Amino acid sequence: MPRSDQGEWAFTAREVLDTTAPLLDYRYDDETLPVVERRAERRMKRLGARVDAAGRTREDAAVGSRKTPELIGASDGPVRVTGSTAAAIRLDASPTQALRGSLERAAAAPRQRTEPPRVFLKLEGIRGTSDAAIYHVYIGLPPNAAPTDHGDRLAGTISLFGVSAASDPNGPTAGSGINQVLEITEIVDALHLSGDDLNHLDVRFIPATAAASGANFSIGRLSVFKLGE
Amino acid sequence: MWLRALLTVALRGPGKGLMLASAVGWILMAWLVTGDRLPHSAVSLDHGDHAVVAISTSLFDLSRHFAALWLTMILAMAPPLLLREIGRLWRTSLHRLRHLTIGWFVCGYVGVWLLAGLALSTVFSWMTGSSERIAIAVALIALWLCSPARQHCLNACHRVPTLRVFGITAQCDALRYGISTGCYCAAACGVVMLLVLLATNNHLIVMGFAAVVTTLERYLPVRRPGWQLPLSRGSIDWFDRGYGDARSFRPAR
Repeated sequence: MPRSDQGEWAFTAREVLDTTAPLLDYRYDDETLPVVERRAERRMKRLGARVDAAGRTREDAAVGSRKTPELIGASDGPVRVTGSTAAAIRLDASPTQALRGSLERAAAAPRQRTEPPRVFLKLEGIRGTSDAAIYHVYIGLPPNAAPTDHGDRLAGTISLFGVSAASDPNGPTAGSGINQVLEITEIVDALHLSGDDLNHLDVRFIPATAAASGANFSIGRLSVFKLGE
Repeated sequence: MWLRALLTVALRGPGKGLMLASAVGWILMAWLVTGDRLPHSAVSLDHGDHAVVAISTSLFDLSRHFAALWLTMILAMAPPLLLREIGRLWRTSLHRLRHLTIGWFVCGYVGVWLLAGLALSTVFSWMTGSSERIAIAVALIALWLCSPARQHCLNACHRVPTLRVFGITAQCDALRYGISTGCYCAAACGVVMLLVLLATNNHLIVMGFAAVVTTLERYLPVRRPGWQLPLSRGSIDWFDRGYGDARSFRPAR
């Protein structure tokens, strides 16, 4: 490693474990571990359920569990994205009703122990040639609203890195494109609490940079999955 | 690693059902080709042109035998090839429409293979006319198996189509997916079935060998089309690096 006095410092991992050792010699002002509330408990509080130490909510639907995601809705066809683009996802009545029921039960039960299903947005088959494009994905933005004023509706940011190779019919994915998954549980919870009937979800793609505005790519299907019962 | 990945796919969701269907197909096939149920099991290739005549008369004189044999072969060999496609339909269809969607896919796929069976039976009847024809046909089949066009078909089997979810359009998409998968599958592996039909002795063993080779080829990562032997050294290297490993892809210069 180059030193500030033009020299080089060769070191082993053992020599940098203690930051107060002579060659490093620094100390953090605050080394107390941050207290992070568990995701499921944070969610249950937001839904209105009472959570106490004795009744910790089980994170039943954790990613990596053996539960299989269930498709509950999708766009009616491919979506072409150029600049700021809006799309709609239709949700199937029966599984959506079950989801709303779970959210209502979670809010009504005094000590709900099981987390309601989590919800994910999957962008399937993204094809194009704009490898450098980066887009923000918003869900449920009010009409004509400025996205920057609704940070709570930001589902995530997608990068199209590798999309041109993935769109090549003889490339590594045989031209199937790339897939991206974003968790939208909090947004769906917020929509439910605001009285939305969850018949459909409005999706808006916003270029993250000016250069991305000129990007042109297609998404084979926008799908919504729920994970858990 | 790739074997574990393959087994994981095979044993989840509808995979168990597919493997069971395949097992039933193999048992039926064993029942058909043993004893006197089909006349072809009694003939051999030991007598030059006489044997050629024996093949053609034994397997295809009775069309009802061919239909039974062909359908059973599809039942035995197709399910392991469709683990990925049917698993995808299972996961990406609405719960209430899953079985219907898969049903339409299977109709499209089997329909294509039945048509391919008719075409292959015609070719088989022609090629078993003389030993010269058999030699020409085998040479052409070998050429096709090594051709870039066949690799293009194998690559297309990896392609994920856009499938709509709601209403009649979802069923149309599933049918279309079944037809396109069947077409690429028949183009890539149909001629292998001709070789299987040529084997009159130990038919079941030859069929099993063909099933293993075609299934392995089906799950190999995508390769850039070119003249290459099936399951050649390059393919095995890719297998060793891991199933579906994108790093194994080298773009064209």
